[in-house]
Amino acid sequence: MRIRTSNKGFGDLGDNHFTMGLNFKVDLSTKFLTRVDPRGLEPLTFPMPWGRATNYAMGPKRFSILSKFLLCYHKSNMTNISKAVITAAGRGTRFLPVVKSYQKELVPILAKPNIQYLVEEAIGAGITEIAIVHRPGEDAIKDYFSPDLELEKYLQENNKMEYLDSLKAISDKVNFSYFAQSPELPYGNGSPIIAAKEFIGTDPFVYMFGDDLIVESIPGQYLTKMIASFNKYQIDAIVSTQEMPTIEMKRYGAVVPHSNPSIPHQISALLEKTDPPPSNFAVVGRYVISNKIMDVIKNQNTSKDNELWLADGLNTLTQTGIVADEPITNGVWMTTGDPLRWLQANIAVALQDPKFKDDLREFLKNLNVNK
Amino acid sequence: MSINKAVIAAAGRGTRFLPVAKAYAKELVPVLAKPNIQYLVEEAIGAGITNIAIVIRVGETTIKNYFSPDKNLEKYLIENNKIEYLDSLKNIWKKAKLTFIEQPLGLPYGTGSPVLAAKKFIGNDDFAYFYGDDFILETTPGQLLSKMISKFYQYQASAILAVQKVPMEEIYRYGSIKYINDPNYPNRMSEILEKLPADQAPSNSVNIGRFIASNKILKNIDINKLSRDNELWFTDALTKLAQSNIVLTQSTQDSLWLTTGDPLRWLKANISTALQDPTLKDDLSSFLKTLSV
Repeated sequence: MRIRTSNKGFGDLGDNHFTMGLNFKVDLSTKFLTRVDPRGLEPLTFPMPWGRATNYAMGPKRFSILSKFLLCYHKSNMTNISKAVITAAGRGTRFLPVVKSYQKELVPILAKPNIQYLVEEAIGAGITEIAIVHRPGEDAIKDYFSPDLELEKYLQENNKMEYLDSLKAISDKVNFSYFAQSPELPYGNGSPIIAAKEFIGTDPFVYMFGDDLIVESIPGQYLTKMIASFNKYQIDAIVSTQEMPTIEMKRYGAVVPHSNPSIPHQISALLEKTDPPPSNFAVVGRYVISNKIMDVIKNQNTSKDNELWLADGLNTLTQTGIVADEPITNGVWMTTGDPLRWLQANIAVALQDPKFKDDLREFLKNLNVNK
Repeated sequence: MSINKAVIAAAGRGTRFLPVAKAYAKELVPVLAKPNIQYLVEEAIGAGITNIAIVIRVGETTIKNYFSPDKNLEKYLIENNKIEYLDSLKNIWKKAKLTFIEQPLGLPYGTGSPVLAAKKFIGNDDFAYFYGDDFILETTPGQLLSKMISKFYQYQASAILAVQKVPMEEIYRYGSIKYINDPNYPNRMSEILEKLPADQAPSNSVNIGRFIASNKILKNIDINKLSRDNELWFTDALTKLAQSNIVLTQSTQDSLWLTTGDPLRWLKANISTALQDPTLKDDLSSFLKTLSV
């Protein structure tokens, strides 16, 4: 059998199995097409587009049908999401005076700037294009992610090149774009989407708030799950949530579970801090959003505090389509927006790091805070 | 009599803080919301020092930028009623003059070179010398340094070193102090022996990066006599000085010595600092209790 495809490749694995770009596995002996997820998630299966026959041969006609099907699939945005937008346009006042000299996204968690953890999380979920929305006139983040030849020379001469390994891994895997958020745009967490509109184009995207950190054993594991849910149900947005004790909910926005859900975890709204809360699921700064948000947010008015809120846009999508939440289960949400929580995030990350955890544990034990 | 001048060594590469130190000098890595070097400046000011030289790497600009006024930021903060966030910096500008000195590339690595780089700044005066990595946590910043300055004048000493006792099994990492018994001069030292195994170390007192030194020390930093690491050590100069001068030690007592030279110790310094901060300690303690350590 001779099969060729346009650009994504189609490989004969023998024994009636074929691979087709986009991580599809075709098993000619069954009636299903399987999308094998390289990160080990539950595979997605689809009925073969030509009915229920089994043990057919892969002739040119069937191949052409399959190609078209996969192309449609690709276009319907069920495929891998490759773009992420990271917001990094805040002033970081709570980190003054230190952020007088660099953006708060460069405040470190151990020896890496906090934004690097977000980038690594995105990469872990298969993202290949990252847009960072920053304040006008700031290029420190861009400089950080760009090569520094003088430093590399020094490290090479001193056999310390491995200190840049994590940055090299990043530059091998993603392309960065940087967008200065125009001062004409209102404050608020909806504006960075408008600032990055050319980057987003017509694609769905991951949206990440710079202050939120997901501490997990495999970076991107949780985001991968969000993307998988987004793909599986073909919905308009997935909102990240973390279950919290009721007493703490007054500090967070929360999701309202849908009273008559058509898919698991469907929500009917996102609410700002309210007492009592509509649920114990606090909204976390990770979203997977379909491109429909662009039209919504461009035409949306500012609301509370004269800011442009993403929640307002998502609330529109809950009315016109389907929005669901994805609670964090294997990981912890932490924030790095103020010194206390940032310090807690540092401790949590260090306690996961094999190099540091035993020593730090010993140190914490000796502090006697339990007494 | 008082000491007016301080030299802070901040010319290291900060490799252990890479990759983040790619973006800024490791002296700007924060302890809570302030760069670690700001605590050193505040410590010097707390001991009455008004003239502070920070010795930096050639071409390094981020530390100087940090300590310079930023009109745009001030304007923004005034408009938003948040100008108090810069109070600690304004206090520094009011009380001390900061000078930035690039350490010439020709000087060897090591703790002696920043002092040579600051020779002109020091002039004919006595001065305080700080290693940038050493962090002193105390209820009143400058407490330890003030004690050192008092002792320097009380005994007309040529140098005072801050010291702390460490467990013998850690001594190999530090400079161990050899004491001489002198009834007129308590805690008089004769030598600092760097990085010796426990069975060869003369005491478990080690020097930490705070010194008061007379101007005489400059003549004792011998650029032609490098240590076994091929570095120029300030402690070698102190040993030389002690041969014919009075060099005394001052223990840290109520001041807690921490270091910020690598991420783990830096994190511990952050935790210790937060646990002393009335606005943070209760919340942090509650958080630490929730961790199953």
